[in-house]
Amino acid sequence: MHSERIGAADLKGTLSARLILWVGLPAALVFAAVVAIASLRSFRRVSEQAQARAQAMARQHAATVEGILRHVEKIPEMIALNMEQGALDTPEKVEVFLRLAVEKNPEIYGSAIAFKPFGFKADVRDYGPYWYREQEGLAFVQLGNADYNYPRWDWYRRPRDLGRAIWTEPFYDDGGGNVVMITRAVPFRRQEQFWGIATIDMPVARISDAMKSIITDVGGYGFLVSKEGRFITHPDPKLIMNHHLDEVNPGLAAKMKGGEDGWMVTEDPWRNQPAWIAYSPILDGALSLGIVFPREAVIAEARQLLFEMLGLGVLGLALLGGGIVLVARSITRPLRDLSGAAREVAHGNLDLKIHPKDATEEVFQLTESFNKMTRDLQMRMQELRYTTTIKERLEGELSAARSIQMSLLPKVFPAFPDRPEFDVHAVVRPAREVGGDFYDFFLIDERRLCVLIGDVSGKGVPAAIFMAVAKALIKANVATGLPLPLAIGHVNDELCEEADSGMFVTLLSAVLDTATGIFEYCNAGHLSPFILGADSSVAPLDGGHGPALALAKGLEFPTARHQLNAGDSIFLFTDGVTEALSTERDFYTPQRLQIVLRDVCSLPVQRITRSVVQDVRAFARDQDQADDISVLALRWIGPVETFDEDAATVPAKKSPVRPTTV
Amino acid sequence: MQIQEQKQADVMIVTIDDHLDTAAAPGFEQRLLGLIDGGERKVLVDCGPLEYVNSAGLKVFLLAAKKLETIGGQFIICSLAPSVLMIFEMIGFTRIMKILPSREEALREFGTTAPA
Repeated sequence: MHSERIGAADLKGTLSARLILWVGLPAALVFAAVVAIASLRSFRRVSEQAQARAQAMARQHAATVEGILRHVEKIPEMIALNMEQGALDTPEKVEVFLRLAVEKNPEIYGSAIAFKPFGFKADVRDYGPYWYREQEGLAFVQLGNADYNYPRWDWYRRPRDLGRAIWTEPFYDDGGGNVVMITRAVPFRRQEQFWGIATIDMPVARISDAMKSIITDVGGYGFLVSKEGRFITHPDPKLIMNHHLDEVNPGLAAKMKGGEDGWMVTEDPWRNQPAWIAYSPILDGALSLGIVFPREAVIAEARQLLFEMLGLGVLGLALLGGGIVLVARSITRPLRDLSGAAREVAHGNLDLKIHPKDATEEVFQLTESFNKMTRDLQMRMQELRYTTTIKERLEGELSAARSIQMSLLPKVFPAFPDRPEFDVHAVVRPAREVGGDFYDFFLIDERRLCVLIGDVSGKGVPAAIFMAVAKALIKANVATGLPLPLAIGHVNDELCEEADSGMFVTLLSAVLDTATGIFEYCNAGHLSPFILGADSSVAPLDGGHGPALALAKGLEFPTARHQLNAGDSIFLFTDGVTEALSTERDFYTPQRLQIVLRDVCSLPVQRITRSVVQDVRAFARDQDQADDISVLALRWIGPVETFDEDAATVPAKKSPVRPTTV
Repeated sequence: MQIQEQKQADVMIVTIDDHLDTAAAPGFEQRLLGLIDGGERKVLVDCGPLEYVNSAGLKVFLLAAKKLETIGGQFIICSLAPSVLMIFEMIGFTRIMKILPSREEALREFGTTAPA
């Protein structure tokens, strides 16, 4: 029962809790480590893959754009070559040739030839024929007018100054087709001197078409910037020509304007989000192409892998935990059954048998032991019940013997209410075990009263029987009226016939002549009684000593006589009084008895007897009472007046011999 | 209760402890009667250490004395302390049993009255 009160915490949890702690937790830790390492690796791998793919894509598209531009580069070179050969020497020839060039190359928007001042004709300062496309066909304009004044434009000045062909910055052609253009300008010479510039205009839309195909499968996009960082193509048309990459991402702008080929983890220059950007130069850095991968999209794959692994892991752990709980349950279920059964057995159901289902070997053995235990308990209980029954019966018989024995003693007081000459009172306090104390008092005739107290040696039923026999023999012999010594001698002889049991009886018997106060007593091996004088003197009545009864046949039992004064009392007792033990193992002793008697000697007899017994009990306190305690007090109050003349006869008619209260 | 046995010639000397009360009596009885049943015919109980005896203990002496008497043996008690002797006298044992002051006297008594 006590174990039930111990908390689960004291027992360090259930088996399943322990299994989860020692198996499930390490498994979870290992799993977490695996997930961490795997996701780290997959992140790295995915990012490497993304980088490689992005760069490859950037280079490929850069090459495509460059291919388009390189193709159209040949047209101004061809024009320049023709000019340097000198065959085209009139404006008509030049203009026809130029028109033809535009006509034959649909990919270009227009083409111009711009001569240095006074270079073509001495009378024309600026001559710059320009053919370009319009909706109805080709249109012609002479760029050497005051409005346009081509010598001030970069496309003319820079290749002239550098002495080589260039791609110009894209520009917005509001005169021509309202489109963004990029111009290739090639210088040509005559007689080793700069003579002019041949150009073609290329609409950026052509390149944009190529760029539009860069729609990466992860939601990315491509863009082109010029050498100055201006957006040339972009998914957002508002940015084109109007904005610089420097404005939104200076770091990236620096790399791209520098014509570098590379990879950068940075901010998306368009949408406000982290992005990975691959970039690659076109035409030796005249343009730069960038491809933007949103970070989210790149790592989505890795993330999905991570989620899948986590999901699988959690599922696995849940299965493991469930398995652990199931296993622990299946292990502990028989134990719980046993525990419940034990509780039931403890409540008294010994017929309980338990039959474990699918038990392990250990549990099976435990169950067997448990069943054996209940079997044994049952047997022991039966034995116990049997012996208890026997013991109870024995005790019942003993207590019956005890009550029969006690009923032999007269206990009705006052015993002689119509005899004013004397008073007698006796108390016996029996020990738990059957003892052998007895007392008696009866009138032999109208005048003589016999009182006696005795103690049979030994204990138990034999002693009780012996006591009953002795008491009956004494009464029978004394009541005949024989002289006391003879009567006791007869009793002794008859008791010696009784048994060889070694039992003997100490007896103090006495006869009081109620008329004269003569007290004749016979002390057969008993303790001397006390005489309590009317003057409060207390003294042992030492005399009349003879052997105990039942020692041997033929012994003699002398008596002694004592003349009582009116008011004198005699106190008789057994060794249960004087040999009562205190908790300190001291005897009560006759001395103490004498002192107590001195205090109470003048009280009524029943007060004397009860006081002594109370004092003995107080002395012994809770010590187990080993022996019967018996006391008897007799007081001779004095002769009755009417007895003076014919004391022997007159009361005899009034009051016959009283039967004792046996 | 300590009981010592010592055989001297044909006399079995039994020495008993200081206390012979209701608790000790059954053991003493079994021991003493066992010796008699075992064939001892001259039994001396040395009561030198004995300080207290009650009626249950006295019963054992009486039983042994009666038993030896009926089979023609001899039972002597010796070395009684004065207080114990007083009890023996009071009960009347001194009238029916041989009680001597010392062991030597008791052994001499066995010698002189030894059956032929």
